[in-house]
Amino acid sequence: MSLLRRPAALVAAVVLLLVVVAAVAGAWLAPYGPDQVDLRAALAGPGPGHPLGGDGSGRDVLSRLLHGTRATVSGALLAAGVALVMGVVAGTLAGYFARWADAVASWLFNLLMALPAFIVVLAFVAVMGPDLVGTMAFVGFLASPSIYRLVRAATMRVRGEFYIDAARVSGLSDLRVVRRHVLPVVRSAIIVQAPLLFGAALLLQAGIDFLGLGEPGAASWGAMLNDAAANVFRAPWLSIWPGLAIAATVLAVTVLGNAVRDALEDTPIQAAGRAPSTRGPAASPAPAPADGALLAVSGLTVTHRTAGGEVTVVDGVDLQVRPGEVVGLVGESGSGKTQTVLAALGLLPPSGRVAAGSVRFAGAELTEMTERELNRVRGPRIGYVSQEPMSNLDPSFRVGSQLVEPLRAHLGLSRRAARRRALELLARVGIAEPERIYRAYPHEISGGTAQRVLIAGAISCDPELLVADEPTTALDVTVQAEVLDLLRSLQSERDMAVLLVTHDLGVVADMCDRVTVMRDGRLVESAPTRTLFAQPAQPYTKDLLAANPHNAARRERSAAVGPPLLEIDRLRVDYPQRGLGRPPVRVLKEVSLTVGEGETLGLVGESGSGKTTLGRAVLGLAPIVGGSIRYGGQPLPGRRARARQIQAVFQDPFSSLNPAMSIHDILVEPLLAHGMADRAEADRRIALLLDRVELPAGTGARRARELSGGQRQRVAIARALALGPRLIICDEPVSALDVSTQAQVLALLTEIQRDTGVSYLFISHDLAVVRNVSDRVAVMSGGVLVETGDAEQVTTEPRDPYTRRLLLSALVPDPDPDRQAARRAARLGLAAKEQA
Amino acid sequence: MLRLLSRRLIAAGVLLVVITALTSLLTTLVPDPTHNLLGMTATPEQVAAKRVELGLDRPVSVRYLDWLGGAVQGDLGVSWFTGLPVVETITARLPITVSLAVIATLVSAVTGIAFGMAAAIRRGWLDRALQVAAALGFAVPGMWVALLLVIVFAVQLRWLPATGYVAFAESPADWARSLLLPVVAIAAGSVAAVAAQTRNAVAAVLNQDYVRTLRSRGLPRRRLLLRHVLRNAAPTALTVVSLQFIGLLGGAIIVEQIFAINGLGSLAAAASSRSDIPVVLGVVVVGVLIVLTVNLVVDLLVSWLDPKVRTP
Repeated sequence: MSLLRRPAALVAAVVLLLVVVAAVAGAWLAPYGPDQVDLRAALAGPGPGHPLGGDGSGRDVLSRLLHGTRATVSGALLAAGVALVMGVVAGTLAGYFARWADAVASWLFNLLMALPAFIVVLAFVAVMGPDLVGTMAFVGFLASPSIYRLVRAATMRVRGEFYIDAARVSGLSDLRVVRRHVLPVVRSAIIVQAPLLFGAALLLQAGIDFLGLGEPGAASWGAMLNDAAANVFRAPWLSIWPGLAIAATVLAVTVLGNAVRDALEDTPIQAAGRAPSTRGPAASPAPAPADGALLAVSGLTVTHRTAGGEVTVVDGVDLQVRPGEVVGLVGESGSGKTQTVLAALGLLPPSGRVAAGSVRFAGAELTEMTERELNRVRGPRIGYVSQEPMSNLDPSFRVGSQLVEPLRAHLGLSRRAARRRALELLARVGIAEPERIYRAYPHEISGGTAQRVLIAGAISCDPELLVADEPTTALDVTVQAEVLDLLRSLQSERDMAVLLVTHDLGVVADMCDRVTVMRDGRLVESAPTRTLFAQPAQPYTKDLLAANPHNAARRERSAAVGPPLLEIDRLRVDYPQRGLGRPPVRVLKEVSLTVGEGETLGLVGESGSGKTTLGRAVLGLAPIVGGSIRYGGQPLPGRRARARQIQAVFQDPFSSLNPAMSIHDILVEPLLAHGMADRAEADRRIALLLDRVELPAGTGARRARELSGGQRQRVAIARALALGPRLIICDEPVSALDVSTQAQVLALLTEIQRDTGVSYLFISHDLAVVRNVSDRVAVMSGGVLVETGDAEQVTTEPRDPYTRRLLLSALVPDPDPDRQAARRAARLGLAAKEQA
Repeated sequence: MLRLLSRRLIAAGVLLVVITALTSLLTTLVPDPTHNLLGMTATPEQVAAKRVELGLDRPVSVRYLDWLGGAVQGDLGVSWFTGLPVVETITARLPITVSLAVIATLVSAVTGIAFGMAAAIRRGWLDRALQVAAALGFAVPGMWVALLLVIVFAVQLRWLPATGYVAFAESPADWARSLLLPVVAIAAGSVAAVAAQTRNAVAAVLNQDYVRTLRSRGLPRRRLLLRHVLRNAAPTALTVVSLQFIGLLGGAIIVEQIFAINGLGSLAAAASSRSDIPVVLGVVVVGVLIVLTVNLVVDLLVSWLDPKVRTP
């Protein structure tokens, strides 16, 4: 047992062992009976015959301590047990089934929570009389809300994971889903809470006994404290032993509980691509234009403290940004690009530090500055914009106050002047109603507006350098293009230097003068943008360019598209809103489409378009209120039968596999649930499936959390194939993956279709990806289908203006400034026409 | 806001009716309470007479509705034991217990939040010390702390009185001296609990993206911590403090017993041990009302702090 290696846990375990021995065998170990009176020992201190002395009535303290253990401990165990059973059953049901089950249960348990527990227990004792079992069962009842809330929250969290959806799509019954996927998570939450519950119950019981409301005459630790309190002036030492017994028991249980929790949390998680090890020949060092650089990073090395020791995430990186220059810092996830800029700005999280190298800004060394000195550079001289717009605004303060604060701190403006300046900035970043947004709270504005606000904040003090870390990644395609246009115009207007961190070569082509490519924490190459695109010096850069969906090869058309397999006719889906009397939100408004046998239909749309809901409706995961879905000419079958026909691959590879399960268990689950194979046959099939998705045979023994994103998505595909379906709903299957992995997974999907003739409904926000894999393409916006047609036609000559805008907003990795300018002009023209 | 308020008031009414009805109903299931009042030697005639006197001969539904009718008008009946009106008995003792619990809550809130913030910001030894203190504060029973305080400061050192309560009006200095040990005994455990949870809340806020963005704007550290971090951690801290207050009410009952303070707690304990049902019901009603009021105030404060609730 590894947790016994911690000294505190070991001591706690020994204490608990003693308590258990005393509870079981206390009656035999005690030298005297619990009520045996020896008048000479009354209030006597420790001495021969009475090692811990005698109490107020002349009873042996040691004996009463031993005799009292069982009642005290078993009472607390009873209360904890009652609370656990009630809380777990109700919490799991409420969390899993939500809706009215949750509403009713939560209301009841909230009422219970609002009771002053101790007073209510006293009332219970007053009515029912002193009875240990009844009282402690009642205490458990009163304590159940704490478990209920915990279990409900844990269940709801799991409920949102894609692996629960996947289990339901595999045809597992709700009971089986709860048993296999929900209860294990609930169990680990309880392991942490149960010791606290036991401790609280023990303390409460001691309190009842202390007040003399326990079973009369019975030996217990609380009653002993009562006796000690009565004799506090004559024999103060009496309080030591029962008090110590209570405190030590509760402390031991808590410490052991914490140790178990830590042991559970410390399960090693392999951070994908984070531990740089031996690599090939070092990249060619960039020529160092040291002179005249505004920002000069050289030999920067960043390390992070982790459970497994110090890990290097940035390893000797050089980077220069000259005044007025736009430099792109490109890399895939785990390449260290974000860590590089955070280190440069002194914004690393507490676990990280700059281990070596220097960051000079306008000649001054940033890594040696104090926080106070840095604050005279960050803000007034360097602006910073980050990836997620919503989480980067303080939710408790109005947009205006967050803009005004740095203006007043750095420029010393008056309240009025700062306000005027902030409003000008909001207007400058393209916000139509600056006054309204100025007064708004972050939750009242959209993601695109929030990113404009953050850009306004970053440039508010006229910085010489703007550092933008994936500033458009979290935004929709059309908004992304607008925000990049804004950054470009701000840059040229102020002649500001920009360091743009991105994974997207399309953004680089559109924006940057020079590019630096990073991989695994190291510099790969650094070159002017046109040179890099035309003649990449390193093979990695070549691969990166080739994998970009705009450059990637399109798949051949499906040879023979058969008759319609899936027919969706005027489908309507509503999502109910929380709260009584609120009208439901209509997510799909009469959508009709078909998918033929062996065909890939690409479904494109921005967030909120309803594309994901359409897929979920086909999978039985969204509430259908109108229209029909037919499969193979028949109405859609129920969950079990549907599972063998229609399967799914979900977006988030980290959420779509249960992290605690082995790959083998994940793949065997649907096979066993449908009784399609015995153990031996299942093992054989899993080997075939793993081979099919090009994973090594040993993968089955590994846990999902040990795999990389691309490997996980291969497992998700294998799981979808396990039941031999004829249609697979792929919901953004590659959007969470790096481009090089993306290309491989897409190729795998194409190959599987060629071999098995399976149909795909391929849902994505990325027009380029969809074009590469689809026969036909359907475009959705605002819950309706705006255009359907041949993939080539829709993606080159769209009929619908919305599709045209999507197409022009896509970032093409084409470094030619004239063609980029032409696309921008067309985009602006379209927007102007729409406004007119 | 109004919605929240009305929903809370309805829930409070339901809770009070349900719990008092259940308590009344349970009294019919248990042995005759008159034995407690008359002793085991009472004759059947005496018992019958007492039952008529207390109204126990009437059906429980009539008794309960009668009681409820009175309760709505502010009459909680008379004690079976002393014959005094329950409302008078309780109002005489309520201020003592409430001042004890409120002062202890304030002490634990102020010190707990200060220590919690410091531990989240400074980390290191302070953080580790806080974790140990939180575990100790949870495990060590308040009554033991109270006894140890009495032994050290009252019995050995004789600095402070061991028992009794002095009204504020009589002598503010003696009032403070009489409350010092009880307050320390009640608050000891909850200081650590408030500190530990505040620490977690502040640490979670410090991890937020917007804190990094605010730092990138060059905002002075002091301002960042006192304005943005504290503000966003406040709802959690407030909720913790309100939960502690409910716990402290329970702690006060026990600690009053040790310091021989005639508050609500000693009343409840005494009434409970002699099955004085009207007094017990009265204490439950008052206790539930106090807790509901505190919860409501905290909920209103938290929702006032949350812009999502404030701006519909």
